[in-house]
Amino acid sequence: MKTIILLFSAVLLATSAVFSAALAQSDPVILTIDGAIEGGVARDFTRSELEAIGSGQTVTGTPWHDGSPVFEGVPMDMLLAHVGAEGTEADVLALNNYRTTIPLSDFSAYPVLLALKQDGEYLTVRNKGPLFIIYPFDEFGELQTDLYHARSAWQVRSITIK
Amino acid sequence: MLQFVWFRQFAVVIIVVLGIATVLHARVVEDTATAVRNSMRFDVSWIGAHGRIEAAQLESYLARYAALGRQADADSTQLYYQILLGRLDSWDVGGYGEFLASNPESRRAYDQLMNLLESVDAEMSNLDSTDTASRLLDTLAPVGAIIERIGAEATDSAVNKAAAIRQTLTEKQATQHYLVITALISAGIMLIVSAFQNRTLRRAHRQVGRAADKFAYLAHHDPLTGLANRTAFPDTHQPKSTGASHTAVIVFDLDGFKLINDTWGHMFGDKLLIAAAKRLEEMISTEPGNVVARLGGDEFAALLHLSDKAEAQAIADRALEALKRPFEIDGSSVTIGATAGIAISTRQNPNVRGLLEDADLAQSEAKARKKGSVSVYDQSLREMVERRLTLENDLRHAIGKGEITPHYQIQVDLGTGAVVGVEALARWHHAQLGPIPPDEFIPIAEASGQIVDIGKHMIACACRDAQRLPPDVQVAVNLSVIQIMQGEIMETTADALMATRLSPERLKLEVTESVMMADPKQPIAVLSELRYLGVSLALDDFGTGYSSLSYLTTFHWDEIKIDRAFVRNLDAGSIGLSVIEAVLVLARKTGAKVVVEGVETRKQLELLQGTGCDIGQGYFFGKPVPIDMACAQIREISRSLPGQPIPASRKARRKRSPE
Repeated sequence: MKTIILLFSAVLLATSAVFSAALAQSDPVILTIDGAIEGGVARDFTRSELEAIGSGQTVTGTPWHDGSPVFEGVPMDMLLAHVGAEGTEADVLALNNYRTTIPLSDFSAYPVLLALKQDGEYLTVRNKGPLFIIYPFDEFGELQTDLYHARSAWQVRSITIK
Repeated sequence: MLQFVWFRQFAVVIIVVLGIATVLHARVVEDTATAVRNSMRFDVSWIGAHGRIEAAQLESYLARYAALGRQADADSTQLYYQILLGRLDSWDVGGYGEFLASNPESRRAYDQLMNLLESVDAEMSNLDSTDTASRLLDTLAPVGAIIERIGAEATDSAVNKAAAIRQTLTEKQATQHYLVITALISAGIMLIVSAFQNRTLRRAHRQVGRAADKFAYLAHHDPLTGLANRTAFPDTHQPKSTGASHTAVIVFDLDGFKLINDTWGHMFGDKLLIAAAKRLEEMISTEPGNVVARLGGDEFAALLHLSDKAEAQAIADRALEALKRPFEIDGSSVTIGATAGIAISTRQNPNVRGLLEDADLAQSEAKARKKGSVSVYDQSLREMVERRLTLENDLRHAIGKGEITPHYQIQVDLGTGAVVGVEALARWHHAQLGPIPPDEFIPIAEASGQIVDIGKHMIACACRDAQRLPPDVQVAVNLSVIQIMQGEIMETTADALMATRLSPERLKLEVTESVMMADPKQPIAVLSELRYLGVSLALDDFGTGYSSLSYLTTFHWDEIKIDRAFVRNLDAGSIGLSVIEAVLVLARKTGAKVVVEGVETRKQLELLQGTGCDIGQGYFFGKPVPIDMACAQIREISRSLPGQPIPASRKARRKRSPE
């Protein structure tokens, strides 16, 4: 019986190890936050980790989409609070090496979203995912300028708090 | 005023211009904002540039994988493949989408590009050999060129659009510029005009103020002398806190000013008034609070603050002395006098207007009494003047009311004692005031001209009453100078004689020597006509006034009446008796009878009888009485007469004859 239990345990362990490896395979790190954050060590986030932090929704048109898609994702202020950001600006780097700097005050002034989904579908790279910084352009007319369009980075890969 | 209307229209125009400029400017700003928004939307070249970079990255990783076969390069290739597709997807929406829609060539190139890239989707997903990579490199070789071409066209289009927007912006800016300039110029003109307008208004305001001051000054000052005028005079009184217990008003009236004004001209008269005003001012305005005013014409008034009543008299005397000193005007020396009236009040707050009236009254009284004198107002003076005014008023209706009637005083032949005539004397019995003495109302009647009516009335009455007298008794009526001068007397007399059918020789008209004084030609002509009518003429009150002996000879008088003044103190050897004797001598030469008036005592009668005077009249014979009583007197005397001397029993009356 003991043997059976041990065997079962071993099988279970092995299964969980295999399962977790499979999980790691299907849920890769998609965002890294470093710089002036709590603990001072860079933190990696998978999609599910990000979704666990909080969720928000913004319906807005952008210069890069037809119509007004529904974006879902992590509100930027929640994300920064989560990592304990202690700076004034965020250096955002995208997969295509696009780089932009956003004052942290934007996130307290506007409900800015780090979007994961568009119209209920997860963003792919082709759809400018997996992460897209979405400002509420329709709600705040003053945001419809080059400045905020430039800050709306897509294919976001990492954020450095400064 | 035209200026103000013009300004208002101008202001309205400017405000309308400013309003239009503001509205236009707002619209232009809106247009500009739209243009700026458009300029952002059309910033397609920027997106295009990123596409070129990403395509180059894809090619680069694909080439490295083909050359080296490293898995990392394969992963990067796959990533950039997705990135490029994502990029190109965004070219089909928004601003870039509009660009593609309007450029068919670029649209075709874009479609070709997308087809090309999507055709390698399966191979890209399974990029596991360098051979595949090499093949893909060949397949995707045109991608860079196509992107370049679309990018170039996008840039061209963007530049053109930007140029158009810039052009619009420039135009809008120019319009804004003109609008702002217009608004600024309008506002500037408005400011300048306002400033000008303000200055005009200020000037107008000052002018109005000055005019008001001038009118106020004119209203309270005499323009000729600069003294206060009659209106302002009462207001000049300032009750003083110390010293003066009396307030006095002195009214000065220049004597004979009218004559000087008429002979020397108004200019000269004005200068004299100015000089007199100056002299008075120097005299009076020595104490603070003392004021000199010109009441009008040649009348001045002084307001004085005194501690003693007697000071007023002294000051008035000194002022009259000062005015008597000759004035040097235009190189001529002219002398003028003045008469003054004083009114004094001891009240703390005197009624200056009332004082002025009182002083005026006193002045009139002084002038009537003696020119150059001073009179102080008191209550009796006012009563006198008021009585005079009442009499003057009531006299107008006195004849109509039958209040004026003749009384008759008998005239007696001193030789025979027989009554030879009666003198009609006007008596006024006032309904309220009772009998008014003739020496009170006759001067009033003479001054007001009503003496003419009274004279007419008297002649009519005398002619009527004469019918009741014995035929040998004459009736004498007094004529005033005015009646002679006016020339109606002939008609009046003739009418009265005709109406009563009285024989003219029974009427005797008496005139005083003053008739002859100015120019005897006219009165003599009138008297001659009356004589022609058949009436007798007597020279009355001879010996008073100028008493020129020539009056006795210039006209053939029927009678000469010697004034009672000569009879009053008649004693043997006195001057009076000598005068009477001298007149008698002259009268005998001209054939005139001599009548003595005021015979009151037997002694006087005897003395007069001794001189040979013809006729006597006086209280000794009888005082003036109504016609009925006169008839009775005459009857009584004629009864006691026949040849008898005048009864000595008749008592002389002490009272002076009221005639």
